[in-house]
Amino acid sequence: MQENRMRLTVGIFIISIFFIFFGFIYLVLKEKGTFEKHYSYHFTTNSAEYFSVGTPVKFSGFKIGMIEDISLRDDGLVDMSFSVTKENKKWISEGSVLLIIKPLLGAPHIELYTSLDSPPLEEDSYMTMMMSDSINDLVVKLQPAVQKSVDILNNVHTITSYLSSEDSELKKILKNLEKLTARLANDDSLLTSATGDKNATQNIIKSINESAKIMRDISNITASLKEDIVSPASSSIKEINTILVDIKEKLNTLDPTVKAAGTFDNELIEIKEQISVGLQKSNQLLDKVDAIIGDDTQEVELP
Amino acid sequence: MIIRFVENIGFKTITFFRSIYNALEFSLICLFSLFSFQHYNPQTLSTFVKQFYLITMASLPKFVFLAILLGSLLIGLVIVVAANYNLHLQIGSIIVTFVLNEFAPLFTLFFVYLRLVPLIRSHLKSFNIELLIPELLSGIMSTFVLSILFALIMLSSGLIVTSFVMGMDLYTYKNIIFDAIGVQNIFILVLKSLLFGFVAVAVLSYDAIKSIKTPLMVLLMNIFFIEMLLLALQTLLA
Repeated sequence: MQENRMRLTVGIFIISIFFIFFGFIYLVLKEKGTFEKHYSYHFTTNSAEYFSVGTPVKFSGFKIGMIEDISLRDDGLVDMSFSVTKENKKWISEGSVLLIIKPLLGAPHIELYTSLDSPPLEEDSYMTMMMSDSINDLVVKLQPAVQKSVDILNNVHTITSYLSSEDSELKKILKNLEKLTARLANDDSLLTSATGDKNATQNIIKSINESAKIMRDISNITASLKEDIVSPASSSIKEINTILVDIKEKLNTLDPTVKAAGTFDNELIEIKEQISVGLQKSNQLLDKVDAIIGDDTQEVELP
Repeated sequence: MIIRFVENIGFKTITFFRSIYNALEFSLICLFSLFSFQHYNPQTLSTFVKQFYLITMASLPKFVFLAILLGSLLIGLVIVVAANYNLHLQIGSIIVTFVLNEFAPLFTLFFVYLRLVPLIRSHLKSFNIELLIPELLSGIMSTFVLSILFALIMLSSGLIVTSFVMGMDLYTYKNIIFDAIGVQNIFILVLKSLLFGFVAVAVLSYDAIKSIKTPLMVLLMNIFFIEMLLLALQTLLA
């Protein structure tokens, strides 16, 4: 009896777990559209870089399909196929374009840009895959400027290195100035004879002493300029160069979007013109209505 | 002196390879015995049910409690770290890989191993294939079933944590998980839990029969080997 009960408990437990497990698998497969009919579409690229079987195709951030087949054609181009479920077929229309998105972190994916007013695209049709180089151009233009900046900083670095060295002209001048001011401070007869006023001489000596101190400070600052500013600035410029190259790649992905947005501008102008014509017609109609109503208005004389 | 030193090296090497050979031989015998149905009898089923009950059902509340506690804590940590590094887009993939591929089978293995230690040591004194089969079956089945249960509990805990940390609702969480989960994840979970269950029973049975010094170390080495094998398999499939 005890054993039978144990068997029953174990049986119920195992059946429950298996039921939940297979139910979970069924739900996952259903959500992935495994049991639905799939519609295939194709596109061609110059390279299979960033693409792989299973790369998701997204629309407005939602996964609607994935790459199912990649093959190299005899002419060197790469043929790719992806499929979507019946539910997601409506997003693919004539004129829809695909764009490869390569995030800094994570796997790349394909984003679909579509015009919902266009008629739906037939199954097994070829679509356009956008691979823009506009950012590359921008980076190419920026790179000489960055190179010049690096050269300027290198020159500044050379100058400050020379100025901070012991045998530089600036150091020699500063030393001579220090000697001169020391002499003036120790012997005030020269100045007193020039100024004719003992107090004025003392004030000048005091000022010269302060000037010497200031010059020493300037000397120290010049020496530290190289380490504190020039070297970090030089490395920063180099980092900026690297970042720009990275931005170039990112902007590649944005260019088709901008182009797609550009087409909307023309549509907006057309809509604006149509609205303007409509408004004119409405005004004319309203004028006519006003005229009709105006004609019918008759003053009523009260008894 | 030098000859004695060389002799010692030779002896150690022979012992090492002999022990590996014996362990592999024992594992293969265990594996083939599972598929040799002539060893199955009514007593096998009865012992299997008892063992399974003791490993799984008797400690189910403890297991569920630990799964909820540890599962919520670890999944919470993973989600918080992922959110801190702006990996919101990859959160589904991270949760699925961490829960299904790694943590659920590993945690269940250690849980089942601890439950199996006294059971196998008390039942298995010498090598007996009729006694070994129910042990293997109950160990494999327990690890498999509890891994699934643990994974489901942990995924549910993920919903609670994501709703608190990211303000995610059930519908979004379900979409993210179902979107990230793949057949290969479920395949890895099933394969890993079956292998882990087999290894746990095999190591403990070998220890009960031959009394090896460090069964846990042997188990860990086996886990490492299985992990490497499955990682290579995943890389090949990807």
